[in-house]
Amino acid sequence: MDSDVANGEGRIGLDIGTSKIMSVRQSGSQLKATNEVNAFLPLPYSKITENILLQNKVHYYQNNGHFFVYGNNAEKFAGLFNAETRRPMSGGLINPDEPAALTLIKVIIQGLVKKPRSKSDLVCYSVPGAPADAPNDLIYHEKLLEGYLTELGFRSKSVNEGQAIVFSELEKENFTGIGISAGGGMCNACLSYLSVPVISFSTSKAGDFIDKSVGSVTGESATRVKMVKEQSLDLASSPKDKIEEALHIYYDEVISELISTLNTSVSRASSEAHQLDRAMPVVLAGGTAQPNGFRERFERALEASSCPIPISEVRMSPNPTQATARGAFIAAVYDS
Amino acid sequence: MWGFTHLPGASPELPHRRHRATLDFLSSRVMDPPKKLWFIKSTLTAYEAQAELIRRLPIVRGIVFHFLALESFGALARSSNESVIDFPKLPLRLLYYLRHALLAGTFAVVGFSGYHLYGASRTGADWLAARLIPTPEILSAAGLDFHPNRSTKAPANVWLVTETDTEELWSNGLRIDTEFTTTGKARHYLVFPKDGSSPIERTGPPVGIVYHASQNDMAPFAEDFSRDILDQTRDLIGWLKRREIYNYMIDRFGRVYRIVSEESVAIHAGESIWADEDYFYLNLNESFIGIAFESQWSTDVDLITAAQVQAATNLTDILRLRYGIEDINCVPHGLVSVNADQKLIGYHADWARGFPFNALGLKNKYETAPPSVDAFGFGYDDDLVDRLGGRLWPGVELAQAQLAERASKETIEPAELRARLRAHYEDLRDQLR
Ligand SMILES: Nc1ncnc2c1ncn2[C@@H]1O[C@H](COP(=O)(O)OP(=O)(O)OP(=O)(O)O)[C@@H](O)[C@H]1O
Ligand SMILES: [Mg+2]
Ligand SMILES: [Zn+2]
Repeated sequence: MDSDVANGEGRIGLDIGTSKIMSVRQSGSQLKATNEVNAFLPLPYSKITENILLQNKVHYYQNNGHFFVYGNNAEKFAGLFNAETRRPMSGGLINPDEPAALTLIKVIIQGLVKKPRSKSDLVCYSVPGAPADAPNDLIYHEKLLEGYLTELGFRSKSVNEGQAIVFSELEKENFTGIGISAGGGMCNACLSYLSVPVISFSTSKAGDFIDKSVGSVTGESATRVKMVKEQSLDLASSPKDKIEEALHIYYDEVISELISTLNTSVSRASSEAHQLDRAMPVVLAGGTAQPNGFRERFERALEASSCPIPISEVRMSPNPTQATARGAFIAAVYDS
Repeated sequence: MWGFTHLPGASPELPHRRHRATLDFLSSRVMDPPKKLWFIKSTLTAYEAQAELIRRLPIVRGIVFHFLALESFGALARSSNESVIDFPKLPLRLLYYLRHALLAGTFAVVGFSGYHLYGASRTGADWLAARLIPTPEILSAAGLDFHPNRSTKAPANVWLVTETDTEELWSNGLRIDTEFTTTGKARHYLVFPKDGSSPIERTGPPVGIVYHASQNDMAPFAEDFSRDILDQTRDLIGWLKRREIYNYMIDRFGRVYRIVSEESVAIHAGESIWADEDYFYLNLNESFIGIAFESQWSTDVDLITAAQVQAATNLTDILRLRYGIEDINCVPHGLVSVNADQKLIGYHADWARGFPFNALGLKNKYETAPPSVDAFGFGYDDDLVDRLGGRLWPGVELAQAQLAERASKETIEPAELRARLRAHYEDLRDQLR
């Protein structure tokens, strides 16, 4: 065994999500997480705009007569310039319909991983489960990211997002259980037994779906819905207005889609060879899992469903937004 | 035995479940997540790299797997500081889990030939385990004979002494833990008179008891494993309660938990058949109480503890007295479970061998002709014979002989009689729907 497995020097975990990209690395004896919103703001070229950006020391990328402000700054300046942000990714994968996607995601990643210190530095990045209807899209996504990281001088490998949750949250259970990340573009899940992924799947109903659907039934903009959702939604108490009511309904839809996919995947993949000798825990993580009451709702729905495997408990990750990146970090460190 | 035990095809091959327990055990000693992950992965990868032949030979693969796990563990231990591996409790438990590997080493030195190694290491491993782990309380159920002269009538006088919110105390010493009790659907079932008259609807008390083995994961029964044993029981109770499985569960320390209240239906017997002098009973969840021993029933390990047997005896006495349950209606799951579509007996086989009837004050039902075969013409397949270690219980033979005799009296082929009986079963089954 390599001696440098003992510490996380030169290892980075990267969560490449639809709404944010997060890196985790070791800093002293602590783990340090850094986060960029996975979005950009295209601004038509003008001297004034350039001055504002320079005065604020904002990094931007220039192309085709546009400034592209990216990451956290994109959100910060969207209001100021009264413009809409755009996203390089949708549904968990690089968005092929967004011409600026490739460059901007690369720029954001570069800002997070910086430069490698040695040739052996390794980045482990998260990827979603293959979409059932277009499995090849995942290969394209993965290859592009691998290409960027190689260009930047890193060794790289990918880890399934659900599996990353298992790595970060189910250590006590020796990496046996079900990890679920409910994110923006999709929900990802992985059932692992002693770290071996036995089943993984993803569903496309997640945070963005909630925003869009609630928006369309209430006539509010998705942005406003998202704000209400993130700031005041409480799934444990009854809805106070129309938006909340719709949020509850679509949250239930997200949960029921997740659970029915879990149940069918498990029953489909059944074989005599793998006896399950104990009940499995389920861990929930991701931005969409954050509202108060989410865990209880999920647990109730799971109990009411005919889940073919014994579940010992449903618990919430203590750190739902960082769980994927931390898991990717663990995957990067163990690999000597 | 409860329903689901099988899980999906994994791409990197998982080793046999007993070896996985070793891996689980060893990794629990590693306190650092990446190192733990490294340990698991490198053991699995090393194992997968072995020739397929090795991975298919039962004892050999165990030895190889343990050896590889030990190697990885050793590499990890050497390269880590003290805080990463939790050594204190290790020696005894490690020795237990590694007994096959240790034996392999011993025999390799002595120089046994392959075939002998296979046989000898098997018995040798058990011998070693017996020495490493003192297990005075564990009895093989088959050998149990507590009350050789006990009558098979329920004692006339047992009463509830006192109860709290979480416990009942009975005059025969039995304490029933009621903390986890849940209520389900009320009992409501049909019984079929043997004289062929129309079925009778009942909502009243249960008519019998079906005994089960819980078949959950079980740590060795020894002091060093106390924590694991308690955790496993707690997990089991939670799962049973949520699914409303069994009315009672008896843990390995003989503690009795009421899971689903006696008046309600618990899930436990599935498709099943039994009969007493007057009636046939089909699908016994509704009409029989389910009691599970926390145990792993199989043909080569049927271990339950003396405390469990004592508790089951007391519980059986209480239930029989309370509901007037007859001896004939106290049976293990393996004798009643059927695959109704294929007309096969022994769908679940828990306690189809080795049940301590005698200790529980019950007549030996292995000698009774099962009504599934006798009255409804069910058969069995080779798989069941295999699962029971090469022989079925004597009652099956008896039932077949009786059936053959009836056929010859009526001067028809036994197959014809069986077909008629099966059709009769289908009739009764239809009335359940
Ligand atoms: N406090 C909150 N309450 C409810 N939803 C929230 C909260 N915080 C973030 N979200 C939602 O979580 C989603 C983002 O979650 P997360 O950061 O885990 O996703 P991601 O990793 O970027 O996306 P994905 O994994 O789907 O590609 C967004 O839909 C966001 O609106
Ligand atoms: Mg994510
Ligand atoms: Zn059973």
